[in-house]
Amino acid sequence: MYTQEYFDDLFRLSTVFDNIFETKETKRTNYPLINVKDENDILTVEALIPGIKADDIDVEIINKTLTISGEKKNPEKRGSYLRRERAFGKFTKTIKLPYRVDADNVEASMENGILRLSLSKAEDAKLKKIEIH
Amino acid sequence: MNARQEITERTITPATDIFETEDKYTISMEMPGITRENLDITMDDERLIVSGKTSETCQDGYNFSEFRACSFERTFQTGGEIDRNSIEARLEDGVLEINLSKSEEVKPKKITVN
Repeated sequence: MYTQEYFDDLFRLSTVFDNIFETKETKRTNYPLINVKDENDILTVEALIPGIKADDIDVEIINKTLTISGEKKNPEKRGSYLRRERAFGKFTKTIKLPYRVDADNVEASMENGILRLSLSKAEDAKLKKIEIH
Repeated sequence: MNARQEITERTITPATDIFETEDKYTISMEMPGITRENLDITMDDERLIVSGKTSETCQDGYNFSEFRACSFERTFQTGGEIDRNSIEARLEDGVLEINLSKSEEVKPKKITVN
């Protein structure tokens, strides 16, 4: 008897796909870093994307796949660089969700450089209790 | 791709760009989740210390987690080059920008040859 770590397995799967489809334009596939919480059939996805406006982010949900993409624009150079650690440019990150979500019922907010998505489980993906007569 | 399984340390050294012009330095730091109330910028005669705490990325109970940060901290050695009375800081979209004016002694001076 064992409990399946379904989150681990499913997310690991998505890394395989990332590698296959990796192109030059979307090389930084692990940007942005994300956290995912699954609570009461609501998935909360948080992504760290400081220095970007909400207009420059795209969120796409197709079946069980969530894609966050966008472009982090480099602000005007303010002198000569003494240190350069921040990264700019286009990014795409795709993760596989543990279940299908209602794509018409997504809440998204961008605050202090954190993108927060709230995704509800699709009705037909919820557990259905079958009555026995 | 192993980075996905690594969880970032709790205290983060924020990614930083530093620019220099003739009369000032501009420091640009990525501090997502930090608000003005939780941010501290202090300066003594030779160091600028920036630190901030956040509860937003410091939670437990994630099913999948790539980062965990409870605080950000970074110290910059500035020497005596900074005019401490004219430091400006601005926080926008999780990026902190600090403008430090150079003190008069270190600003380039134009020397006129007679």
